[in-house]
Amino acid sequence: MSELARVSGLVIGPASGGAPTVDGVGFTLDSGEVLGLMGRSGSGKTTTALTLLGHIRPGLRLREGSVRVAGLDPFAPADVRRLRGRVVSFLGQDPAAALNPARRIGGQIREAVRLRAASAGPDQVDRLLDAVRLPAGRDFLRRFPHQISGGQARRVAFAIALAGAPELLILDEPTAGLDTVLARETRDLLRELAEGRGVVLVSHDEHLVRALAADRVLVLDAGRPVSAPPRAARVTPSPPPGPPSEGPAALRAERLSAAHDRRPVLREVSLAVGRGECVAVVGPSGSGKTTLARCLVGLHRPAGGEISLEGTRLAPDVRRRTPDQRRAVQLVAQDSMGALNPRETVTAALTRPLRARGLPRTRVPGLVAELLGRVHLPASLADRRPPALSGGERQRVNLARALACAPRVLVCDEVTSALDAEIGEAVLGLLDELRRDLGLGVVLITHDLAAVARSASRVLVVHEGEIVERGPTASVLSGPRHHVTRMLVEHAADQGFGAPAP
Amino acid sequence: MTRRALFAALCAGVIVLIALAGPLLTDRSPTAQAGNALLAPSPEHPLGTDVVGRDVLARVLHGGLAVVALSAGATVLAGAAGLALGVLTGLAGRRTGELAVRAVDVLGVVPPLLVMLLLATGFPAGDLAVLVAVALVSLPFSVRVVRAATQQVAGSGFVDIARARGDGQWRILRHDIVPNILRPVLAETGLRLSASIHLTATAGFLGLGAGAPAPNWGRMVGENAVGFALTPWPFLAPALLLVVFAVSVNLLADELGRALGVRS
Repeated sequence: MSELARVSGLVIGPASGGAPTVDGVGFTLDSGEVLGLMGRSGSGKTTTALTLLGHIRPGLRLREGSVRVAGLDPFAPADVRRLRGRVVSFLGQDPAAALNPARRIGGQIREAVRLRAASAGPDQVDRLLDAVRLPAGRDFLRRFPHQISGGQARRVAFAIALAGAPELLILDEPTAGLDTVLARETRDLLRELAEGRGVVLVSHDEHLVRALAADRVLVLDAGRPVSAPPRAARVTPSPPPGPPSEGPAALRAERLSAAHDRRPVLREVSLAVGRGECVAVVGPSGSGKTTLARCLVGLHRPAGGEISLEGTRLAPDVRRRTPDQRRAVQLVAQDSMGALNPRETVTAALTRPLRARGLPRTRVPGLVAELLGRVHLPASLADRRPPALSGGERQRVNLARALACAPRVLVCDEVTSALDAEIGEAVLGLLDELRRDLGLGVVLITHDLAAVARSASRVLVVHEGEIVERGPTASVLSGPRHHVTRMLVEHAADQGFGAPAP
Repeated sequence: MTRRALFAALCAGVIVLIALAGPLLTDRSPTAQAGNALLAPSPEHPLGTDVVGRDVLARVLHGGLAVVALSAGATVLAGAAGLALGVLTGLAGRRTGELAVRAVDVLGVVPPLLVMLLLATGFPAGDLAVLVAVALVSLPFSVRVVRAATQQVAGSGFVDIARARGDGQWRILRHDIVPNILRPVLAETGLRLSASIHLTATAGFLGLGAGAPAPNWGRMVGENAVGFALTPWPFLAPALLLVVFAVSVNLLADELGRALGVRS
């Protein structure tokens, strides 16, 4: 096998000086070989991979080291045009975003073939579509990107990236943010596409790295290569703490139905969560989980059914609830960035709910510090704004802000799905702690069965707006009855998260 | 600050300075007859005299105030009204908001000059009519930009959370909406200012606004066009100042938009 790429002594740091983000990374890649680049967010893995395309993010500078791909230097303007798209292709986290929304699928693929493929021709387009398992019919090619599904758009983007028959594929977190079903599909497809090519795979998804059968794995930590393989993200199912309490449930929904523009998305869903209890709601994407969360906090008006808090009936619209009722049920959303006002510092975000509770100004700084401690955030973050926080830190700020309302129930909508396994785990641990210490009821909405196994005492499975299965976590996960539950459990098992032993 | 922004700011600053401090720099009257008409520049009249024999330098120094004050005033007026209307229609229900915006849009389809002529004949108070007319012409743009930005922010997660928590409309407006729409709104205001300068100058050129002898760069361009062949300065001096002002404000608005990350 011949050498395809060689990176040596790479040092990349801020153009303004300061600690390097990549410090002394080097590797070689033979053609047909797969190299996994792993490490937590911010470890410099993407920065390293992008040098193979001759790209350095604005604000960073290549200080030392050299990069060669197929004997060419991607940082030399004369060479880079011969490399990009022909020898090296890049697939990012959301490859479908690269499609032009105003042009038909067929035109975009044909253009890529014309510009980059060695032999142009209609059969070349068909071959590409076949490779990514898309229908080759005229009807499909005439569609616009918004007329195909997200999964199909992803495949089209793959086809375009493959048009130049690149010898080297750079994959940057290709499965991040996908639900389990789509992630598996993408993994399978990538395994086929990687056949016979050199691949540099940037990921913190171990299962993907395993699926692509990485010949070697390079682990980065703070920009430096570390020799030890990454710690396996093991899930230890802890016994769900605390028995469900007696008396009326903290939050109860009774035969809740809801619709979006008259299209029903929830049908007669009932659930109850007691003080200190965690009830999980699982289901594939689009099953109505988020609508359920929004109904519970009063942001989406249900079409039928009722919600009660400690035995008192709640108005469907949050504006009709009393201030005390509004504070009692708090929502923590999936998109930690979108849920924070980008112009507000952490302190300001926490101060607002405290002041709204009528607490005197003088007590606020002490309470803010207490809240930060509660969610294990250092006080040094207090003056930062959301863009300067990591995903895990932002989600903790979201939790702290919800806690500032002194709630009795937290509705957590996919709070860990955008986080690394390790950081998600820590957030779940925090939720367990809050439940134990403050007696909070938690509705954990998720598609991540590992999270369910870890925290929830009972689980409800939602499919197309209906509850198809419910019961104690252990028995549902070990003996799923409904086919949707079985599918979710199988996918989770694929990812190495075993269901807890019965 | 980029070099281009610095240069534009410098040019605009000089023009504003001339407009504001100009009247203090000369003791000649801008409206008195100072000699024969259309005299070439001389030590006594550095820029010559205009079509009716008034000193051009004195008129140039006095004539900027109207253009600068009217265009800036109209922009501020339209900006404030647009912010209020845009935020309100952005937060109102779908139907109410849509209706209000259509009403404002009607203004936008009337040609700006027509609005100006209508108001100028209706209002006796010349300059005020120009101010209101220019503001009215800007208003639909401002409302639309503010409304679109408001709707975008109003749909975001943090506004949802604040609503669910029970924060009042006013608190959400002050903490969540306004700080987050400021960038696009400011960038838009820069563009509106440069459009207002253009309109104000046009109004002057057409002889709208304050009564005939009052100096105004736009009007000077109109008055002195006929004498251009004899001496160009009565026409060129105010025209150049207007061009430099409009171009530098335009550049500045572009740089502002870029700095605020709204346009690239």
